[in-house]
Amino acid sequence: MRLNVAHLALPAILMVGAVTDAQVVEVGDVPTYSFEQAYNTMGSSKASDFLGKPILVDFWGTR
Amino acid sequence: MPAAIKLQQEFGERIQVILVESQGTGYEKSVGFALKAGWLGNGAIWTSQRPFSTGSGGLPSFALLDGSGKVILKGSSNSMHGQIVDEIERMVGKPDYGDMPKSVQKVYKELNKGKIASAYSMAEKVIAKPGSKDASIVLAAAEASLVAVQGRFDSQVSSINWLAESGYPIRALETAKDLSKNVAKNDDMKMSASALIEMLEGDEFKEQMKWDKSLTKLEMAMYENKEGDPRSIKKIEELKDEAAGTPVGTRAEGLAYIAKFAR
Repeated sequence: MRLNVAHLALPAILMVGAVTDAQVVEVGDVPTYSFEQAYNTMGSSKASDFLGKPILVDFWGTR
Repeated sequence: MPAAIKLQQEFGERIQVILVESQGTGYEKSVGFALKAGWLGNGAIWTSQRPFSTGSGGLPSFALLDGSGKVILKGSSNSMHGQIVDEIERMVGKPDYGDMPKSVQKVYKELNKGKIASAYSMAEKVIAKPGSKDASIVLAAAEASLVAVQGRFDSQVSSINWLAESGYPIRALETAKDLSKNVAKNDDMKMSASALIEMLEGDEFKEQMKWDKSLTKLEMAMYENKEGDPRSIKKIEELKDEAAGTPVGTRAEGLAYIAKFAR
């Protein structure tokens, strides 16, 4: 069983992984992606973690 | 964006909304902005890293992916909201098994009810006796279903470990207890689930359970109070110090950090 609670650094908000930032997706594509920094991931930080349920990726701006 | 948040609230865990700040405001400010606006606490993920681009050039846009990760719709978030809702309703409604053998469809139906051990046992039975008609097709589908069932179990164990390691021991224990019920008929899986429960009910987590309960209440107070709630921020700071060096302390540290950007 895996459990090591001693060496965590902001695990709820910091994730490690590569991001294919410039990849423009089209309908029918299966994009691969992951997040280095995200809030409320509950452990899901890459495309394969979300398989099995619909994902709505909403791009918005604060400006 | 509030429309996407509403969809997360309406459909709950059946879908995942990922909100991406795409105009370069930065992670801390965008999550701080969301905190101040009262948009956290609904299950949606927030990030400022574009997982990919829709090609909209920074204008509000979306991509809707199905359960296999395939993009099935993209465009303007504002003008296509109705289509997004229709597609989500179609996907989270009755699953489409296509031409999958009926005996294997039953495995997935059982798995979708959360009955992991039962689905595992059904898949094993189909593999042992795939029948005489289209046996190789049935066998291949059944073997794939067994991998899916094992994958669901492994992913739930990983999720419980992540929750425990990340300062959510109460939720970890609840999930472990649910898992234990759903794998009661499989000795190996049951043993793993029981070990997780035993660990989470052990001395190591006693204090963390108490802190987790307090922090969750403070978190919700923060999410609900659009002014940033100075009283809750102060209490989070105190809890951060009290629980320092533990996952709950680290979680409190993360929340206190984000709260600064909501002020």
